[in-house]
Amino acid sequence: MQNDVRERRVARGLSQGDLGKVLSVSRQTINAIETGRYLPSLPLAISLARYFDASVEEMFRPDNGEVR
Amino acid sequence: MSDRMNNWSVQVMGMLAITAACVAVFWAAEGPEAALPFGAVLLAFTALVHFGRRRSNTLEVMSGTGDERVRSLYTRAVAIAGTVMSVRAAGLVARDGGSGRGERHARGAVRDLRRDVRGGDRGARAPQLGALPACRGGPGARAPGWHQFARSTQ
Repeated sequence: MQNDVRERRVARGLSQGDLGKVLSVSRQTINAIETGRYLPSLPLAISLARYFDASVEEMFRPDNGEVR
Repeated sequence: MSDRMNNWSVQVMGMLAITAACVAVFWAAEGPEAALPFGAVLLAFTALVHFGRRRSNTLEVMSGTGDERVRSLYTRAVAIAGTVMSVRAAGLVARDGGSGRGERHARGAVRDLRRDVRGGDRGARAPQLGALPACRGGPGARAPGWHQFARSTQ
């Protein structure tokens, strides 16, 4: 699963810790999402998308064959 | 996991309850000389997890409190630990079947293993590892304590 959380966060001048505070998760969780090591829950994905004024599909894009 | 369980005070209270139950079981089975050190170890573990959870990611996962990623890791860790424990418990039950040594269940894996190495006799000297059948290999190589299970099923 690809995502552009890092690009959007950097574009807003936020650190991982800042974004984590806004979304009530840890800095490590933001890092894990950005590097693809952790797939956020649907509520957190929606929170991320709302914060960046985007849809979940725009922010998270499945790899080939990942979604049937 | 419910939000209520994601509270450090609930987790600490749970650990203290487990500690109290274990101390009670050991006290009843073997007396205070075995129960008090065991309780001290559990209390130290509880304190380590509680006070170390902000410094170490591993301890944070072990504490079971945190955001959704930590809780999902905690759930996985509990599932793995539960699988290991159930396999271990099944082994103890199988080995104890019919032997009338039910107290071995309460003594736990470490003490049970130590007893195996000592040849089932509490006071016996521990043999060299090479003297154990399981360490020599060959047709007689089985897990320590196998002979007890074999005897109990005859």
